[in-house]
Amino acid sequence: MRRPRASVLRTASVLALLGLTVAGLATHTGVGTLCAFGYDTIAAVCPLGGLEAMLAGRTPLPRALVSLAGVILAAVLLGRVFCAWMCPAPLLRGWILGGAPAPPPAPEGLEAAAPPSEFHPAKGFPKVSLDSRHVVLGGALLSSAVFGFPVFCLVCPVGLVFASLVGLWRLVQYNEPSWSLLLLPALFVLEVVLCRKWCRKICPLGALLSLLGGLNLFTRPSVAPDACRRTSKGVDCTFCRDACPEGIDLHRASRSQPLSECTRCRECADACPAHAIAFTGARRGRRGTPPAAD
Amino acid sequence: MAAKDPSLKNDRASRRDFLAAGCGLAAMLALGGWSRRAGGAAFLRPPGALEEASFLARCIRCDRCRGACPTAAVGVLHTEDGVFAARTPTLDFHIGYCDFCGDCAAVCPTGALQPFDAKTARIGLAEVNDRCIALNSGGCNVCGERCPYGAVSFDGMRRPVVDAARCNGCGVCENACPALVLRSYLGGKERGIVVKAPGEATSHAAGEGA
Repeated sequence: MRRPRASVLRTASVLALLGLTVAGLATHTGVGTLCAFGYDTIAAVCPLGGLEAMLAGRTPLPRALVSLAGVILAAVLLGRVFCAWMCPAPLLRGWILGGAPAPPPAPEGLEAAAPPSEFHPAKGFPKVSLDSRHVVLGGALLSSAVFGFPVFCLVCPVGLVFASLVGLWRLVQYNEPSWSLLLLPALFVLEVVLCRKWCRKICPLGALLSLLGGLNLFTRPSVAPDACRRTSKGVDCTFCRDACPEGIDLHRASRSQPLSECTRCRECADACPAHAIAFTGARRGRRGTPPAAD
Repeated sequence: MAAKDPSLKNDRASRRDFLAAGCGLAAMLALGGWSRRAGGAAFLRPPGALEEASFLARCIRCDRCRGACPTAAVGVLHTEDGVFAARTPTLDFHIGYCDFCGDCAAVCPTGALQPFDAKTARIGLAEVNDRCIALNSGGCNVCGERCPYGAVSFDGMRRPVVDAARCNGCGVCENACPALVLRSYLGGKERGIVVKAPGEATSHAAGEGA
């Protein structure tokens, strides 16, 4: 049986999470939203919201800390999997724009595409690259600490989507109209649709997850050199690089787009004409031998 | 074309990134400061809520308390209640009333709502206003009949009087009050007895009571 396209699976995954919230709304069980899903006293708190609340309240919060540990564990296993498989923002942006997501900017130095391929970052490459998102992350945490409330939660696109869903539900169930129903989606569109580079340049949640992505050890995309047209036949094939929404080049380590940015979206694997990409790679040493060579 | 030169392109890209970073940082700080100034209004919070500033420090607007409330008394504030307050929980006694079951506090993942003792917890204080049917035309004693805590009594003129020592703001009276239930188009939705948040007691109602 042929495997469904990754984009279909990702859509199903995000819709399942939205459906979980709707089920919670319908059954009054307090399932919550992606900001904090949970059952009874157990909760998976958003790592950024938890950090902001701890800084704002100047007190450690046990459930937020446990959730943070869970997110770190998930990052070790799966990297930035949240961004592709759980966050509703890219999916909704795609729907609103009615097509493919914004093409990623070409990684640095692409003009000099070198035929020899190097699967893993050579010595000296950072595991994590810092960019404007991390500054926004710092600003969100600093602002929360200074002004004493979780600041980014006010404008977080994920929160806006779920709050709009709740608002819509209350409109239907309780005939409760409000400006929120217009303003919250409008803010979401302003952030994520009009500012198409939100995910790559602004999102502090993505920044936090990319920092944790530096801890990632498993399920990294790896190229089978025997199957890959570039490595086995010397064809200048760039399907995987062109498909990657994060601009990662699996054949060329990049300082600005390290593998820690990988969201496991599987677009590269879908795009590869030789089906040479699998998500089974583990980080090996610092020098790195081609992982699928054995 | 200048973009052909990788170093030039990177230079421009990094300048744009620098701009984005600066704007993002400034936006976060401005948002925090502006919202903080815009805040300050008192709202009815679910029982067990920390005092307002600490509550807002911890609430991540996750909607769990609202979803968990078995009587649907926990509602949500909207943008028109203030940008700062929007999406935080409040109590809406037009839909339900509070029986102090503690579910909201149990599910709160950040402790903005703390476990409480149902016997001593207080949400607010009920206040009779000039929409009260008993004040206007007489003959109504629904709030007194329904109050589970015996906090509403009637004076010599059969007007309801709230005992502040007994009222814990559960909202049963407001939920049951028939004033303006069907006549909302005559001016607002407020009923004849309304639970006010601590610190929200209206001076005009107090003046009328005197």
